[in-house]
Amino acid sequence: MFKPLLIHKDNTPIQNVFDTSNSIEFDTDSFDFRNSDLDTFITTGFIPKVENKEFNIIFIKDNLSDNYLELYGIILAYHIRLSPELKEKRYVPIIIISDIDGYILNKLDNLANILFTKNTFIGQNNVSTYDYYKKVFDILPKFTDFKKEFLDKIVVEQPKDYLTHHDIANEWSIHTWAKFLKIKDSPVIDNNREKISSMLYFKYLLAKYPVQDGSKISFAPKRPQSTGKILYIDDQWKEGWSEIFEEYYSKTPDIKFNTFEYEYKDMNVDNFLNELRVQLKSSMPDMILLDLRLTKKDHEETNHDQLTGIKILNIIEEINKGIQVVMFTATTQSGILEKLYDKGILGYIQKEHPDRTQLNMKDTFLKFKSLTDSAFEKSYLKKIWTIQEKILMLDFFNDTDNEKIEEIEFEVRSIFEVLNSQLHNQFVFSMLAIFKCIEILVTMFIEEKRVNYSRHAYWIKTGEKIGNFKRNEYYPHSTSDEDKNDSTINKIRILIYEKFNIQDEDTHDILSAFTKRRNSAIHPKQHQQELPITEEEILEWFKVLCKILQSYNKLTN
Amino acid sequence: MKKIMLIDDRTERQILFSKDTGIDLKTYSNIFDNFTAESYEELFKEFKDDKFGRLDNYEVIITHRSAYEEINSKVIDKLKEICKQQKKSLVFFSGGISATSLAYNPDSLLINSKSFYSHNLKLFFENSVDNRPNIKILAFGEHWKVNLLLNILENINKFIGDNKDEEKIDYDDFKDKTEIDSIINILKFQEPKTTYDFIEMKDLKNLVADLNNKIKKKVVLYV
Repeated sequence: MFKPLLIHKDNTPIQNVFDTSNSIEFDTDSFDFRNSDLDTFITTGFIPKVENKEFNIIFIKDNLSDNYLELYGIILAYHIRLSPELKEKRYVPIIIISDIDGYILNKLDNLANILFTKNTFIGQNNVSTYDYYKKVFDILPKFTDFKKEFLDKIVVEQPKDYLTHHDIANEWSIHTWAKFLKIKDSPVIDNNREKISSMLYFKYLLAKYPVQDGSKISFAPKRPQSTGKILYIDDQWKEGWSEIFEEYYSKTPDIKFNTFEYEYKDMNVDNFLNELRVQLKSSMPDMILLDLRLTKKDHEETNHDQLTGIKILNIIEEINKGIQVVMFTATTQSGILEKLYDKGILGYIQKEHPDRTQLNMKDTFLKFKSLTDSAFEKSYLKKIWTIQEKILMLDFFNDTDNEKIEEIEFEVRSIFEVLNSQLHNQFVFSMLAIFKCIEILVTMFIEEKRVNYSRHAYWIKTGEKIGNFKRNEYYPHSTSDEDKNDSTINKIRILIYEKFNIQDEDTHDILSAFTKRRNSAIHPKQHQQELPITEEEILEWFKVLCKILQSYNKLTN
Repeated sequence: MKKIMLIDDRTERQILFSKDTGIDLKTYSNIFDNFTAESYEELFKEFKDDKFGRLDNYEVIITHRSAYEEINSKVIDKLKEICKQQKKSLVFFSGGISATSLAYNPDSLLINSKSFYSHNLKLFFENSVDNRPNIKILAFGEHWKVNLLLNILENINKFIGDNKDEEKIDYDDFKDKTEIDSIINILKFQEPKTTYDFIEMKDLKNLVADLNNKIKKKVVLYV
């Protein structure tokens, strides 16, 4: 049965065949210029009126304002098709009533391409249009595949601005992330949802690229070994991102998520960086979630080094290179991404962007999980970096003429780099580097000589034979030629005991175990599976190396 | 006295606009004052102190809709009030606006900022050099006359539909309802000698055909 609805602005003779029960006048008197626009008016003020009517075909006058070229009727037709609250009513045939033909309409406005979609038609601004569609109503084609027959055939352009693309991307991102995580009861996110859900452009995106349901995917990060500290730095933190990340990280116990709650508006970058430096030094997070562009100027900056995000990376490097950084950015520019990797970031997460609808939320969150897990696994690197810096501060490294000292410095520096790399066997290589430092030190004090077909170790300075450790008992003066004193562990222990005055049992035990682990790594026994080296062991050995080098430093002063 | 006042807190936007389009806004500095950067700050300070006297000098006030931070609503209200009282045209532009909205008496325009900073702005300034500023040009660019023709075409079609059973049409009534006066000089249409005269329905149909033809030519051939 033919049940028409007419939407007009008292500007069509067709209204003479309708009464108020099946027609709505598009009355924009309540239109508020200050903080509203057409999309909001249609969504909040007009679509509910349409929803309340009973109809199975709609006639819409193309012009619904005082200016024909505003073509609000065409815009309204899109809203009707893209407003889910209208349910089945959104699919009914739409007849655009016009004073010009479809060709001219399309010449005037791209949005008129809605006329090329199934189930949308055009008719002249006179009663014959009504009569015609009444007659053919039963045979009008109906949607069988809304996506193919409508969504794939139209394009709704993003509202444009020279400077606010970032805002639009941000609003879209917040919406999709919050929806994926099913975040409720957040006024900021609700406000964002309200703001964008009325925009035709977002209705289009939501219809074309529906947000996935994240409830069935396991994307929470692993529980860190100890408390995992995350610091989030983003000028958009107040827009809903803080809530989103708090919600995301709340799924895992022992993750402590904090936001650098800075008032970015009108900020002085130098002051900001100073404040951040203080905060970083005191909180020493394991992972930083960092936006790349935090100021208005950043959005026009062509020199990547001047971007605030890059300046922050420099500060992080200066404080502790072991802090893991995950970039959270809308950028896709390969030049910038390369630069970020050069700066040592762990990875990056791309903010959802209306132009990159191929981004998959599931993949994004799995990547987020993987990067967070990886950041916590690498959190021991902060300690490695601290030890390295402590070592490299020692005065003896100023002796630039000493090749052996240079070698030690090289090895010390390599430890962090290797551990922070993707190298296979990185723990083995780091262990060897630490051990190499000790060996170099040994060669600075002890030499080996062959006597009576066997090797013995002697102090270089005095030519005396070095002592012997036997079952942890120390015999400082070897007398017999049978005493084999040239084993690596013996030389190390004698050196630190005698010359560096390190005599505590713990250090000696660690060094003994370390030497065994090192020997097994370079001379693996057949059919014997060695336990993999752990980060705890590396840290312990590196600390011992630091202790030894500090003692050596005292000796040289 | 300059005719137009442009207020934009986002100075870089104008720089990018000039870079993209090659349009140098300084060319039109004889007809408009550009309040950006320091001059914007100065003006904003005056607005904060509730001083709006500078507006008196201009016929058209164009402003970014969110330029006034925490007192935005207050300033926007004040601008609306002053423009209404003093019959000035008021233009708001913003990146968040998706559709152009032009209203009359008092004349006001709501427009997306990218649509504002476009070739239409150049047309608007050029036209304002020797004429009263016409914000329809900002809204519709070179199609602003097409908009007028379409409005009248729609009025005529509505009139014809509403009076389809009448053989003779009261011309005075027709003129009132269609506002044809504003375009009569470009139409092939002979007005009745006195306003009490009647016209025939066929005359109106010819008028519609002529108007349609003119619109087509303007839209397709730009003549």
